[in-house]
Amino acid sequence: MAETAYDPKTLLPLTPAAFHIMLVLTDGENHGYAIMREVAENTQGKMRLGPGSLYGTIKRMLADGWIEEADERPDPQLDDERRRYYRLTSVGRKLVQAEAERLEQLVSIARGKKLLRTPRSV
Amino acid sequence: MKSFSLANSLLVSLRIYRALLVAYPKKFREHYETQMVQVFRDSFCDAYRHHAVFGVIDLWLHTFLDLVSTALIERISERSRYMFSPKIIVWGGMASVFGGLMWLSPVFTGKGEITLPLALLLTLGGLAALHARHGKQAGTLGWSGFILGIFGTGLLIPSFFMQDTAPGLPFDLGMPILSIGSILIGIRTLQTRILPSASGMLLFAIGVSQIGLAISVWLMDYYLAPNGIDPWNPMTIPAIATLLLLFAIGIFWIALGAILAQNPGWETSNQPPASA
Repeated sequence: MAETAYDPKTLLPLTPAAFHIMLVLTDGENHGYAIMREVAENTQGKMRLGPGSLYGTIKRMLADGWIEEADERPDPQLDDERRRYYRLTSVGRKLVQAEAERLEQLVSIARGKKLLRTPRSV
Repeated sequence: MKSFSLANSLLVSLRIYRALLVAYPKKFREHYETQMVQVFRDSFCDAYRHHAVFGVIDLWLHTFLDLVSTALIERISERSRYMFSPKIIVWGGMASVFGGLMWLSPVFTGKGEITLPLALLLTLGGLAALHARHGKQAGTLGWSGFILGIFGTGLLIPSFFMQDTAPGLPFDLGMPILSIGSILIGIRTLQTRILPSASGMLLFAIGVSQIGLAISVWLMDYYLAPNGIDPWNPMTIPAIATLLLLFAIGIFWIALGAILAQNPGWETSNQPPASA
């Protein structure tokens, strides 16, 4: 799908699954199981994606042009060659950044209402 | 012994999981079955390695719940994709073209008792196709326009069959309601840019022409006829206006139908992506 010139903010908020998958992919391309494991690690096990929710979300993100399948396959001796690797598109990168900024704003509002402790200065 | 038990339970679990994947639509399975089985196998080995049997039970519970909920979502999304398939939109476009021809026919034949209700039905098919083309982007404006279109057409069609026994109230109400519906769908079409902007303008022109038609018919019924003037006398302004407006509406619908039939697909560079 062609990348669009739309303001990413109009597509926010992202679903938690989409945001967490995209967060993992900001570090570089990765395959389904590794994405699933890293999402579980990043959320201390609070978000466990099953194969259905993982690939259902991946399917929609591929269709929307937020991620794409990486053409290069890893060395078959190092990894299973049947695995598919995914990476962020530039639209996806802008989107995940916009979502992170949105969440940061929410946190700062919560902090202003004394719902959170202010971060310690280093 | 332990490795034998792992291999055995893994094999059985994989068979069961693969069988359960039939819950997903065929297309989804074609794309992701291998990947999903692979993820399940990796998860299984991990769960067994860290928590043995309890890990496997926990994995199965989680995977089964995930499968039931996501298979349902995929089935629903597959069905809605089928409902709004490009083929239906092409048929809607064709219906609009024939509807336009039906709008034109009273101009040449002088009779519209049968052709105008048919024209309204066919062009309602066109409105439905446009609504389908909007899909998730229909929004409040698109939905309001579509509902008004159905309601207006529903009032108008019977009015052609009860003309002699009842006043033209259903027509007097139905035509403006249908017109507002057309204008709203036209505005939404321009906003979403899912079709060439001419289609939005055409819908707008159809709505305005229909309002003009309602006024000219109203003048014929409530001004000319009570004053003993033949409402269809071609020398009267309302009669000329009625014929011209019928002609214009017919041409507009033919053009709109042609645009719709030529643009049934979903992939346009201007279309914003839906959220995942």
